[in-house]
Amino acid sequence: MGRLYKYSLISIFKEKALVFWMLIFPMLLATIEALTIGRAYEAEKFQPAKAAIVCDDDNSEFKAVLEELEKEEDPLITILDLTKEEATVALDKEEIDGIYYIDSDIHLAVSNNGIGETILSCILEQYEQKAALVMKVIEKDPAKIPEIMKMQDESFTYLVKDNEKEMNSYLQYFYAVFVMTCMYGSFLGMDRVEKMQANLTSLGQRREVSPTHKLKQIISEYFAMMTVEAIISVIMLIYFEVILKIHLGVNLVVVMPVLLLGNSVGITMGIAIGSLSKISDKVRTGICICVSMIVSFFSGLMFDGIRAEVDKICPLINKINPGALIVDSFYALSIYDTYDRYLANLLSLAIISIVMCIIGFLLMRRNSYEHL
Amino acid sequence: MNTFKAFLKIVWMNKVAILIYTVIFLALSIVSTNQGRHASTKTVFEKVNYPVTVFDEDQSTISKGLCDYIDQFAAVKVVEDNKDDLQDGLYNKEIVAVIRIEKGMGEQAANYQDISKTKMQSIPGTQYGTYIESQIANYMTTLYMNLKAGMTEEEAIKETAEVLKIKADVVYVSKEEVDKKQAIFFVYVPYLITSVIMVGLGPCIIAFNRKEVKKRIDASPNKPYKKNLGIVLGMIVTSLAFCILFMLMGVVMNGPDMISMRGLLYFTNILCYGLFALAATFMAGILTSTANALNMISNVLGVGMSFLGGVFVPVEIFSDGMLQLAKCLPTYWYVKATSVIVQTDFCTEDMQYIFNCFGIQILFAIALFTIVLVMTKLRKTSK
Repeated sequence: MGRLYKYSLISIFKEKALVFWMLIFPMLLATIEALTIGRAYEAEKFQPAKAAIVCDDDNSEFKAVLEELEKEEDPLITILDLTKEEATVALDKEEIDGIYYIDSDIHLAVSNNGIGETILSCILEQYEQKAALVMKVIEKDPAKIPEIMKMQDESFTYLVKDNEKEMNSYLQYFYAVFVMTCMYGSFLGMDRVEKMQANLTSLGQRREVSPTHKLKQIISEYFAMMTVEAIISVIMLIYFEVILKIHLGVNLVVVMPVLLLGNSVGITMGIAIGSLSKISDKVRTGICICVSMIVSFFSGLMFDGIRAEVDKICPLINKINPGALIVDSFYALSIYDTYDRYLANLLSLAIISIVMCIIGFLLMRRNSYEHL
Repeated sequence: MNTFKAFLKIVWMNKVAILIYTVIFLALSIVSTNQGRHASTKTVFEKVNYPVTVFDEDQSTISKGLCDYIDQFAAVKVVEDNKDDLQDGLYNKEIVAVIRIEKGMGEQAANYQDISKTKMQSIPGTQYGTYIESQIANYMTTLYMNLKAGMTEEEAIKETAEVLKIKADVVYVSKEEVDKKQAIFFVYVPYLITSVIMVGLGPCIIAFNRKEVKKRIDASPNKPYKKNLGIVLGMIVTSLAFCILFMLMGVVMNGPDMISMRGLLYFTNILCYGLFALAATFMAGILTSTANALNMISNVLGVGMSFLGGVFVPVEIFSDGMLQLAKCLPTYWYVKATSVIVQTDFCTEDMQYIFNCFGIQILFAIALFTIVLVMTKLRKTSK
């Protein structure tokens, strides 16, 4: 058994194409994603709204308010010194969020419906609301004005931030790269199983006539593949954390069982597909590509919100999609304080892997050939 | 003509692989397109309406007033009050904040105290967290001012709600009304084209480049230019068929609006990119001798260029350096052209920009074709 394992391992390492698909390609993809999506989370952080002021009156009260707001420690607004024409061009090119036109009355010009525009409109709104409130009080009871103004200037705490956690949903793209690595294990599984079948390869013919029990062959192949995949997973984790500096938000030791079971699902899926020896090589490869692409896509490789959408429409898909289970395990480890969801996912992955293994074994056992 | 027929025969032999790729990539693109159907088509100014969840445990007059106000500036969503559901909602951005008003908040407000009973759970430092916080602060300041003016709680809440109804005069300066969602499908096309053309045509080029086949064709009475013409014609016809197929899908998904000048521009954009994909396939077919290696190149090119060129993720989030790199890829110019086509009013400036984008894609294709020709020439000379 040990000898079989050793030689399986050696022959897997000699398959350069497989090394590309399982290691180089995911690494390339992760690098590209790190370059493109790496800053996406930062882009969600608050940025002051950019505005220009068109005002002939230097003593405008609203202008003074805006300038005061700009000087605050965490300013809501940045004012750009532009002429009317420059401001119009800048607004058209979306270089600024809006223009305040201050004359007898004040209005704001915007060209979009984003957060910057909303903040600018809120600033103007709040100014006008407070002015209206003061006017009403002056009408009713002018003596109250000093107290009210004092209340406005006082800085109360109105809200306490509670249990805030960094939740970088863009990490799902990176989790999905691990899904892809696991699923590409199916190519490895398929390749190794093809090499065990007499009607597919000459190596299979030699193995078929050897006295070694088929189960022994499968087990040694399985463990050799798992060893290779485990090494690849560790390399990938190190690559993410050390080279790309993408922190996955999970304990790397705890995440290993997820990756191992994910790899196991990929490999056993490949074994099951490879066992369909009566269909052509191209169709088997096609099925393998289809399955790995669909699983990866629905785990969020190309679209980060897809898993949540599927959860709303048909949650069962996420329960049986190994990709979604792997991503969900990463998510559970990074967000939850307990391991319940993580363990449930591990159990599901293990069941899928066992089912695939049984299918593969049933398809392969007791094969006999009249002629080859 | 024989080479042309042989080329089409090889394409036909690969029909299963082509079909699998086309159906899968098309299906995935359609799913992605439908996911992005929330694209904005507004022509009047509307404030952003972030989804939040509110739990009012205080149920005082003031807390109810605050809840009513939150309902005005945010889209209040009902989520079950358990930790898992709330965290899932925050993570998937179904809600951006959870506001919990605990018992005693009304009492604190009535005494002009700092409010420690209103708690917000959001993602730290985000724009939505900051916005919601500032809106709540605005409500509370106005309320405190009204209370200080000598009003009762009920009066102050009523008056606060009245004052906060005052809206700013905002003018929306926008181009013609456009349906930006139609561009979403077309943005995904480069990924489809690169993958399908490479998988469909790559094996044909490899087959014609096989030593034995090459020698047999060279020994035949067919003139060499006829062979090349047959291959080129085969590639053009097949690629054109793929481009038409994807355009038809675009028409099916976006309706008869596509039978217009805008639709023609989309199609031209697809053709320009198709030309580049063809050149890339030609090059990959010459560089490799196995279908597996071709598969590797098609995947790396398809996924890589789609990410780097702004197909899967918008270029707006790229760093300056990345943006410069993206500009060196035809996918970037394809996406740029698509983003202008969707909202163009066909003015000279827009048309000039669109044609520039087309031109750049064609230049990329010409550059690749030139490299391929030089490589072929060098190989022949060295032999």
